[in-house]
Order: sequence, then C-alpha cells, then structure tokens
Amino acid sequence: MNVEELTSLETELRGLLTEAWLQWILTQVDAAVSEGIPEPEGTDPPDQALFGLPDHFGRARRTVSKKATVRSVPYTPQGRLELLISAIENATVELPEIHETFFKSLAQGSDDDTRPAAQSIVFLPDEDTRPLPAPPDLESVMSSSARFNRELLLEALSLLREEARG
Amino acid sequence: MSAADLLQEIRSLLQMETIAYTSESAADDVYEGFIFAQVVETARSIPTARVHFANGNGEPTKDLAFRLSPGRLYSSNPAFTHAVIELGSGIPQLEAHIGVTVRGATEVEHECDVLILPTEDADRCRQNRTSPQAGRCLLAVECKYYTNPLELSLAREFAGLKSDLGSIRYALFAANRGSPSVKKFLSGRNLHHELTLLPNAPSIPDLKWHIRAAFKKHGSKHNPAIDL
Repeated sequence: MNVEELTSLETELRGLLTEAWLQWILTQVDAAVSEGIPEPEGTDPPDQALFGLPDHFGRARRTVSKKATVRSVPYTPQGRLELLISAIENATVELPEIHETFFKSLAQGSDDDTRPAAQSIVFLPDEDTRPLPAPPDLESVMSSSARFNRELLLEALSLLREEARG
Repeated sequence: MSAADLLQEIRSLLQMETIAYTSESAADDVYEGFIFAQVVETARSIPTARVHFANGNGEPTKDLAFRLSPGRLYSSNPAFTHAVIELGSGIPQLEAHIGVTVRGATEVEHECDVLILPTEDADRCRQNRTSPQAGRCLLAVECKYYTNPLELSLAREFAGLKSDLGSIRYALFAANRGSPSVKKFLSGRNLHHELTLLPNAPSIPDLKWHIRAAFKKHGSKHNPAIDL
C-alpha cells in the first residue's frame, strides 16, 4: 500500500473505534505516536520486540529532544497503522484475561476458611466523584459468543495488517 | 477479502461490544484489581498469614465493592472493600485498598492505585475523616494499563509522585507494557518498577517479590522471629 492508502485505512479504522465508543484507545495511540519510538541515548536502536511491533517498521527522520535524555524516532504511516492495529488487538486479548484473573484470584478460597473467597465483585461510584463507565460484567465478557467474536476480530485485524503490508 | 470487507467486518464486531471496556478508567479499574489480587495472593502465600475482606465498617464480607474512581479511605459509603492482612503474631495488622488518596510531604493529596497501610492508621483516618500520611504507609503501587508502549511522561510523573510521597516505605511502578526509556529512567533513579505485568507473565514473581519485601520490612520491625 502507498502512503495515501495507509493513511486512508488508518482514518477509517480510527472512525470505527470512535463509533464503538473506544476513543480511549485512540487517545493512547495518539500519545504514543506523538512521543515517537523512544530510543535511549547511547544505545543501539531499541529492540522492536519490546514494543510488540514487528521489525520492518519503517524509520523516518531521527529527532533528539533537548529536554529529554531519550531520543525518539517518529512513526511512519505504516508504523502508525500497525500501532493502532496492535492497540486494538491488545485491548481485545488482554483486558478479558486481566479481568478474569483478578476475579478468579479473589474468588479462590480454602476449605478451612483461612482464605475466604469473594462471592461477588462490583464497581461503584464513590461520594463526590464524577460517575465513570464501569467495567463490563465478567460473565458477559467470558461468554462463548463474546470469546468467539474476539477470535473473529483478531483474525480480521491480522488480515488487515497483512493487507497493509501488501 | 479486501481491506474494505475487513473494515466492514471489524465495524460489525466492534458494534457488538467485542471490546466491552469503553473507557480508560474501566480498563484501569480491572488492572488495578489485578495488581490488588497479586497483593492478596502474596499475603496468602505466607504460611503464618491470614487474609480476609472487610467493608468500611470493618465487617467481614465476601461481596466485594471497589471504587469506579479514586476516593477517600474514610468514605461515608461503607460498602467499599479492603483486604485485611494478618502476617503473624506480634505484627500489627495491615489493610490493602484500591484507589484511595494519601497525603504527601506537601500535604497535597495523591491517588494511590493500590495501597497497604497498618489498620491502626486506617482506623484513625476513618475516625478523623482524613487521608493517611504517606509516611505511615507500607506500599503504594502506581498501576498503568496501556495498549501501546509506555510513554516516558508516565515515568516522570511517577518520579514526581514518589518525591512528594517522601517517606513512604515502598513505592512501586507497575505496568502491563515495557519500554526501554521508561525502564532506563526509573532504573537510573533507583525507583522500584515492574513492567510487562500480565496474567501468567514471567514478571509476576518479581512483582510479588516487591510486595513481600514490603511485608518483610513491616514484619521484621515488629517481630523479627517470624520469617516472612
């Protein structure tokens, strides 16, 4: 894909996240893009595996911040699109796993009651605080249909990445 | 399948709430809960320790309630749950909380994602309706869930927080992702940190080592005979 096509694909994918009330992922992606790929001073270029990004990420002009002790490499259009795809994949895979581990860990008890188990876990607004969206119900997140949809989403994202790489 | 077809499929799946965490705070809530669960697991792994859950009135409970956004330990809503940790004989009882404020060296209040402090101090805070002094707390964990590489600014913010928490016995930066610049920044300033913390990750035992170190400091001060 050329730069124009990559940028168009990125714009469309961003639009889908906005439609699905997932702007928070875009906010995190934008922050990462504005920071660039950090590169500690005096070291070789960073191992891309640390970022969960593939090796072939294009590198553009290197910039050196006078304030920071860390250099950064700007993302290319290809890099930005892949960063966005990775962010969606990470949110799709990691959050249900984290959620389930959190609940299961606290729900583990013992026969002699020296480790009492949690029976239910809820999130509530506190006094004087702005109500915020609550995490979803774990049961619905771990339902077979939700798991199946996550697999489909990951597959589609993987194919989109391949498409972008041409 | 063309890119347009793939985008259409992704649209349909996202509209079905395939990613059901629709705010950063919802993602943070479950990540903070995950780190809190590691505190509870670490305490439970100590042979002499006992752990149970209690509400704001000190009553044991198995129905846990956590805050959707940072609050105060002395909240008038008694529903919010904390873990009560008894490490062993002669060692003052502890409490672990999620998302409560502490008072720093400048008396400015800061949010601590996960906080461990002595029950005696927590009781005093509930009676006097004040946030705990950072210097009285055992461990504060700053939790970060990010879908992308961590920004260096997060490490800088943690350094500032640690500076104002001053005499806190143990402060730890815990995140689900890694970043060479964040690691370099925190290591260079001797700030405790554990990165790439996800379920079953190899870094989980390292996180538990920090938590246990905080327990050991507390235990050895009050009853060195008990090996935590």
